[in-house]
Amino acid sequence: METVIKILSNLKPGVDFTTEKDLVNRQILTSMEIMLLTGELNDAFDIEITLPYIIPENFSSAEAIYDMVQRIEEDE
Amino acid sequence: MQYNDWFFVVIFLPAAAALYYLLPLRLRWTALLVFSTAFYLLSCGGRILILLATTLLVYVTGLCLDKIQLSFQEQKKGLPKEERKQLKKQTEKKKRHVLVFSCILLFAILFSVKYLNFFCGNLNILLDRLQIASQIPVFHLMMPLGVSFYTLSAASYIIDISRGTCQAQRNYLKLLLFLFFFPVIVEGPISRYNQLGKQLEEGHAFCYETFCEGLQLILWGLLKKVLIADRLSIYVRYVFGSFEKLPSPIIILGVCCYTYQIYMEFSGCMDMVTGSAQLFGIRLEQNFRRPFFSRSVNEFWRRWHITLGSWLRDYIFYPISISHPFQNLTKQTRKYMNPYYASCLPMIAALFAVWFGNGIWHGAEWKYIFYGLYYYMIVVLGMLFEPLFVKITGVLSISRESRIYHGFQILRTFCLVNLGMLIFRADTLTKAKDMIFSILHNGPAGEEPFMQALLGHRIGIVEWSMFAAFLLLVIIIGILQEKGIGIRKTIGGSPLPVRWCVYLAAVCILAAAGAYGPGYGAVDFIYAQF
Amino acid sequence: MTQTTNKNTLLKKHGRPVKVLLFCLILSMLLETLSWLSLITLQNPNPMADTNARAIFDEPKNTVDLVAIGNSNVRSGIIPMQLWKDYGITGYAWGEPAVDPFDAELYLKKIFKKQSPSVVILEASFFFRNTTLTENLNSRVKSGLASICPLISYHSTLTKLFKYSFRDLMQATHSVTKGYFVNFKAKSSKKGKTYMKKSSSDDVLSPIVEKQVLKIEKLCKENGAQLIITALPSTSDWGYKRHELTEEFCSRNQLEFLDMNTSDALEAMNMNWKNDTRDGGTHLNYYGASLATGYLGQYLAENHSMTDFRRNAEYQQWEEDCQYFYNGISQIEEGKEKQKP
Repeated sequence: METVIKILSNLKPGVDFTTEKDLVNRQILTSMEIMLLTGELNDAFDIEITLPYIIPENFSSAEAIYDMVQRIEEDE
Repeated sequence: MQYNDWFFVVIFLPAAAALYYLLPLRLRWTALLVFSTAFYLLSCGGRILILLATTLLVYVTGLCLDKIQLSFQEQKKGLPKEERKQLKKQTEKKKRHVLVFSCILLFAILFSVKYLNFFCGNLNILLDRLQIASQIPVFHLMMPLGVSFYTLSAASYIIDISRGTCQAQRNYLKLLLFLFFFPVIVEGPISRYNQLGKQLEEGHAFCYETFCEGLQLILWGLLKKVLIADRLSIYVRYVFGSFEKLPSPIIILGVCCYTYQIYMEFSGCMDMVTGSAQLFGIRLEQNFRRPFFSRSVNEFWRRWHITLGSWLRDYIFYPISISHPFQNLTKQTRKYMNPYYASCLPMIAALFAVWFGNGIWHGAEWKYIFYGLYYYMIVVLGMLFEPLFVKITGVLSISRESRIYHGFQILRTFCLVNLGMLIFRADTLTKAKDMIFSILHNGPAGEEPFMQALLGHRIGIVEWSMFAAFLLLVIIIGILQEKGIGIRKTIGGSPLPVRWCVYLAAVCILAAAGAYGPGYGAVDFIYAQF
Repeated sequence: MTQTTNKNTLLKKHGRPVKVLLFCLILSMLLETLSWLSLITLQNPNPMADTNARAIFDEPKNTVDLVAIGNSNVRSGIIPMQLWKDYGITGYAWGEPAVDPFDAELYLKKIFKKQSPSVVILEASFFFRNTTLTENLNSRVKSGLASICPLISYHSTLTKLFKYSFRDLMQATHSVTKGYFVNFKAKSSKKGKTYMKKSSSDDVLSPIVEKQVLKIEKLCKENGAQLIITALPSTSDWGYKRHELTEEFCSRNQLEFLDMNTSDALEAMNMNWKNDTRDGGTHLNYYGASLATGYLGQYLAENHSMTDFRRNAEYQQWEEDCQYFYNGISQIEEGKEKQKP
């Protein structure tokens, strides 16, 4: 979880990712940032985030992102 | 048929609503099917066959993909993890084959009805240049109504099934209804099956509030279209037709008028469409979110024609930028260059596809391709110079969050968008170039005196004041909505006399001052041609 | 106390339908008021400058013997006062921009309520205005609505309102041009020689329009009027294919058809496409209109025995109007002469 927050903070400084719950709809994470984020997550957790996972719900908060990472890890 | 036609508003829509609510809940979707068929047949007759064929294609594809997935789930039971992984890989591969095959077919249909003439024409020019005598015959295929819109919806449907985020529809007619539901067929919004499909199938009970809200939206959309856009089109046609002799400020005004026109028209149409769907209790996706408050071109496209942008994002941008080769490229290049630029690389490539797609989606003409690439250029330059901007504003100690800076950003975006609109509206790319040249060189006094150019062409002081007043209204409503105040809720919540006065005034203004009748009748929706 | 609560529950129970009904009632009252306003404001305050087809409703009962009905080609191409001067025919040119066959029937019905013309001329260029089913359905609905709420047939009424003063609005209306629209502008037409040549075009005569024309014919018959289908000279609103389609339709249904675009007709009236049209071939100007009217008058004299009202004392007003009209015309012509160096 901390890793996720760290990556997010690096990507977009000045946002408190521990409390934000609506990252996508509030346009804090745009498509470009989501793309960059997937790259970082892939590296950090040694997973591969594929397309079906790229839906707004999976990126709405740090928690949701962490959840998704765990699901992918289990799946693999 | 158009959404502002008398026949549509007075007969077609009420008849559809009446039939819808007369049928039992379970059968209500058939009312929509019947009226959508009528709408399509009335609009473009026999070309419905192309639509039926497209539907058949995605219908079969959907079932195929579903079957592959089912057999995978059957087989994987009890298999060890390694084999399961292997099987999954095979399944994915099979699915991909099916998907690619039908996508090629799907877009081949679109290509042959929309782009073949353009393609052959350009090929002929090329052959001519190469001094090859043979020429390809140019076919005159008529475009079926809404082909650009329903093809994208159809593609999203099969791609979503293959990704496992959507279930295949087993009823051909229900799928057909999703693709040609009459409010969305002409100008979108480009719908996704998950969002719209279910809503169409299930019957909705009559809800007075929703119904009234729908009527209000239709009224508001009609005002935008009939009161403002159709009248503006007269002036816009004049300016774009004879810019050579006009003073520069008038040309600039004409371009702004076009932006105003197309916004009023497209968003007005979306209001009518959303309102019409709401009469049946169906909620459509939002296509506009006050785009002119955007602070960057990127943001503009997230607020303007939202469903096209999100389609391109989900089915072009992500697949390309997240693909293996590009992710690897970033990893590799990061070792040698600034990590910011390294991560920009896949984006620049993916964005090219997005903007090229955006441009050519609008039409088979060079100016549209250029229009897309114009935005591509702005977006890429913005991305590359972003670190520089940050530095400059830092040095000048300008706060990037101050109101003044935001205002500057909004104005900058507005100017860039208008330049784009100029390219979009001009007859050809050369004309667009000439027009920009005219703006720079004609000066404040052209061949035609300023005042005559302003008032002498069927748009007088009364009309200009009407445009200004309506613009002010739209801006005020926009600001309120930006602050989170729902304008319809506010009116709906006000005391009955106030509420009624607003509605009555709107209907009366529409009837008395709407630009319909001779000389106005032929204003088609701009986006209906795409 | 109980009464008020009763009332409240009653309103709650039936409130919604009552409210909806009340709303519709107020709305229709408002629209009717606006319609009435538009009717009186758009009547013609200046008898020479503009025409208004609707001033026919202000003519005395049963005095108009010939009604020409159609789109703007009619009001620019037929000069009723010339027919009066030469033949003593009391005619009226009822032409409104972009009228379609549905409107025509509607207005003809209204006209028949007050007038009993012996000849009705239907100008055919509007047969080709609506080609598709949707367009025709649309016109159908619009003209139906316009008969209930005339406001909508006065397009962009509100912006026109500003051009009138209160006094203008209250003036009685009387058209001395009898619907004709005086215009002296000239802009030559390039298609003059070619537009009636045999050529392919995608014109179609919609069955809905055919049916509607036959309906109009029936209406005329019932009111004792002879219907003549005509096509006034126009290089952009008429063409070979249109001639052929109309000819075929008329002979199939035994309708009288007079095409003023045939080479014989144009030659007989001596039409010159350089000077006789005001907008490059769509509408005739005054000179073109007098040629076409002359031709029409001769045709009527030869084929229809229409009454000459010139000696009839009851038609004194027509003579006065005629003088007023031609005075106005010569004033305009003089003014034009003066402008020339």
